[in-house]
Parts: sequence; structure tokens; C-alpha cells
Amino acid sequence: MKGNITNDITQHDEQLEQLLARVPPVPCRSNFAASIIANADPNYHLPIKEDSFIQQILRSFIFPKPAYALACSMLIGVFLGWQSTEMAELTVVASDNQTLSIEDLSSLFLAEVNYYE
Amino acid sequence: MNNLQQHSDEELMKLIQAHDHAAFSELVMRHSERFYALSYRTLFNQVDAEDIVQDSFLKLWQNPSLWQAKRGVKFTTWFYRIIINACYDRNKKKSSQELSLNDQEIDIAVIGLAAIENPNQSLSDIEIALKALPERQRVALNLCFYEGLTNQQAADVMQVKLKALQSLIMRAKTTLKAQFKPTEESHDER
Repeated sequence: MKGNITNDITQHDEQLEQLLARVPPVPCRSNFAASIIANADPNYHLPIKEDSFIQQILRSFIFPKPAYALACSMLIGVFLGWQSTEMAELTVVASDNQTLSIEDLSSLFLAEVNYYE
Repeated sequence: MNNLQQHSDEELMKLIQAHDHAAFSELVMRHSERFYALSYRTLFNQVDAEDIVQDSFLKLWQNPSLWQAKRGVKFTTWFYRIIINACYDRNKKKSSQELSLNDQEIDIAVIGLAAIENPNQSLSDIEIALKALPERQRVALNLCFYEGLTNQQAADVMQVKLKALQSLIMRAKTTLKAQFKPTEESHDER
């Protein structure tokens, strides 16, 4: 009887230890030790691992939120529209100049015709 | 070339006292995860645990004469003590903000915690049970079970007598067993 109780306690201890062994620690950040070392000496440079370097690059690409994207595209649109108005005016001026030059040419042509006649 | 990896902790500490940063780096690389694990299992908060380990190492770097080889204390034993005391201080500061665990204890009882019989039981219940233990019982269990120290070493770290430590562990285990004991129905089935 006493032996059975002892066995139960031992078995229970083992079960408890198995249960405790299933609790893993939350891993600290990958560069934890390096950051402590860097904090101790500002001249120390953190070693950059290939994985983390790629992750840093990927993180540097910021995807805009839809509202910002919309606002930016509207601003760009207004700016381009304003620029194209200026360009249209320039075109008109240019075409006016061109018209004048055509008139000149035609008058020259007429003068030439008159000369031959 | 002087290979620091082959140096003992105590030798590294002597170099650190001469302000050797490479020795400090080696010591941090060697032990930061171990001290973090203890700190985390005492506080159950990743940020606080990292803060404590980092602050303790920085204090050591700024004032390495705190460790005295003449006392004959191993570096790890001494540093475990520093980490544990820092955890106690952090808990004291937070204790006023934290909610009482009484409600959680009731929840644990309701759940039944037949985790021993159900290996798929979520780990969070076990963590809650560990967190609900009195601080010193939790530390004693951490040192002996998770850190693998002998009872005598753990007693040295906690600065208590061996019997007091054994008593702490016994009480911690009894509390956990009571919470995680198999349901009575399973006994009846036998």
C-alpha cells in the first residue's frame, strides 16, 4: 500500500516535470547580445547578418496607404494639368508665330509669282 | 592570437576589469541568453526581461569592480543573484499596477487543469500557473529545473539555506500538482 503511494508520488513528479519541460522561453531578439555590446561601446558596430540586411532593405520600401496614394495622385494630376495648360499656351504662341511665318512665305510666294508674270 | 572563448568567466572578468571590451563581448555572447531565460521566466515579460539583462550587463561594464574574485564566488552565481534582485525590484514597482491574481487562480481551478492527461493542453495555462506562484518559489523552481543548478547552487544564488530552498521547491511543486492533478474521474476509472 505504502509502495503504491510512493510510486504514485514519483509518477506524479515525473508528470509535473514533463509538463514544466514543455514551457519554452520566449526567444530574445536575434541581435540581443550584439546590442548590449554596442551599448557598452559606441565604437562597436553591430554585425549585419545577410537575412537581417535583406529584411532591412525590404522594410525600407514603404507601401503607401490608399488615402495617401489618392491624395498624391491628385496633386500630381493637378500639377501636370497646370503644366499642360502652360504648354498649351506655348503651343498657341508657337503656332501663332508659325502662322505669321506662313503668311510671310505666302507673301513672298505671291511676290515671286508677280515677278515672273 | 588570444582566444577568449577558451577563457573562464572569472578570467574574462579580470580582463573586463582592465577595460577589455573584447572580453566583455565574449561574456555577453556566452551568457546573455541564459540570463534572459531566467529573467523571462521570473517576470513573464519579454521587454522587461531584456531590459534587466541589458542594464545589468551595462552596469557590470561601467563598474566591473563590483565583482570580486577574492570572495570565491563564481561569476554565474553572482550574476544570477544580480538578475534575480533586479527582477524582484521590477516586480515591486509593477505590483501596484498589476491586477490581483485571485481571479486567475479561480479560473485555473475551473479549467480543471488536467493537462497531465491531455498533452495538447495549451502552454499558456501552465505559464499562468507558474506566474501565479509566489515569487521566491518561482525563482527556486526556475533555478533548479530550468537552469539546471543543484539545490546547493540555487541556495547560494538565493542566499538561503539548503533546507529553505528545498522547502520552496516542495511548496511550488505541491501547488502546481494540486492545480494540474488528474481529474478524480480518471482515478475512478482505475
